[in-house]
Amino acid sequence: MNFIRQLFLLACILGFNENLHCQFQDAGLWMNLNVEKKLTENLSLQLNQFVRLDENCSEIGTWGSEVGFNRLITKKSKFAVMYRLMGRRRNDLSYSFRHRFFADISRQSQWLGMTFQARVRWQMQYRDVNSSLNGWNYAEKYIRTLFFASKRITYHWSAFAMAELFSPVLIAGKTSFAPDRTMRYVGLNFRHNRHSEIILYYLINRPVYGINPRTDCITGIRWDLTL
Amino acid sequence: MKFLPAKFFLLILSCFVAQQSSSQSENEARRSGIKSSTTTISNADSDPKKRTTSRVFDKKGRELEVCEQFSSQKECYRSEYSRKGLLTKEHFFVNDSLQFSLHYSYSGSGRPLKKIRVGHAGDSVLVEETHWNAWGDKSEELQFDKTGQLKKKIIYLYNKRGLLISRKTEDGNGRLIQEKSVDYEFH
Repeated sequence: MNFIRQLFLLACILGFNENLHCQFQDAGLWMNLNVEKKLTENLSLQLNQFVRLDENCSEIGTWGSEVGFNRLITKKSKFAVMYRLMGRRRNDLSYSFRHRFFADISRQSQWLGMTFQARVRWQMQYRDVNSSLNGWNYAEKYIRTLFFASKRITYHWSAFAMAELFSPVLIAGKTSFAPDRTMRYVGLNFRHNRHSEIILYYLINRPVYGINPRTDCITGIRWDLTL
Repeated sequence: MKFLPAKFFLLILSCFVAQQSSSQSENEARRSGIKSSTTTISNADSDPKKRTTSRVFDKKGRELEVCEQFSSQKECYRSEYSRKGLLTKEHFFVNDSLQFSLHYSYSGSGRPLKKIRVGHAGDSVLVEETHWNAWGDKSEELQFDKTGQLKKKIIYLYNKRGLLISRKTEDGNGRLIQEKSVDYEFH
């Protein structure tokens, strides 16, 4: 048991080691507050708020709110539909507003005392509605695939690692399913009780293509409240 | 003192034999492909009466019918299951005459909600009702008598970790009959 724990911690440390490759990066800080209200055993309402600081944590790069529903299909499978309103900072310091709709389907399993999860997200985003020619006429569509593994160390603490692939379905008028961006996370999860969890993570956000791709190294903190 | 280990051994042996002679579990019936079984107990010495229990299983190992025969009386109950494999109805017969049925209802996630007794004349009485909270923990259990009056109420309380901390049993008038509480210490 100790061996698995040490192995997992080693994997986490190696994950942090990615930092050494971040030569063309920006440091960011992401902060989330997620509130989930369990309506029934299988259905819950979710409200999320987030702020993302970039330019070496000096400016608010993105802010937003999400609202949606989670539905347990089986004990191990979940479906969610969400809407997100977000603002992303432009170069002229104004904010570009985006409307994002997405649907998730995920499945979780336990193996060797670890929890594994796979999630597929289909998302559709409209930007600069009423302030650009595109508006509601043009949507960026993505399929995002996420793989998650976590190991519970004590009741309160667990460590996790996850990777997410961004595959554009329709972006800039082109269709391609090849991933154009990856996000890799390692982190620690502190569960106070079943109503409250705090998640600390480190994230590498990196485009797949390009010469010297801009890599963002982000520290994140998230508070999940379940009512 | 010499007999103590021998007695202990006999006790273990009798428990083992009793276990073997009891009915098949669902798993055993499925694994072994048992369609039906009949158990006969007859005491040669004092009680000449013979008791026979017969069971019929489906392919999944679930009991479809259990009949007990005492001399001239035969008592049976037949079970029905939903597609998900949940017990939905039980019909009780005495000498092939339907006495009453029990109807079970479940939540979407398969948790038992209600148990209703339906008489042979079609009259129905709620027998048991179970309430669950949004976390899937049992919060209340209500038991009713044949007239539909509340007989017993069991209230369950949980702490923030979802562990049971209290189980209160009240009678139909709300008087406390029993209280069980659990204290936990954590690392």
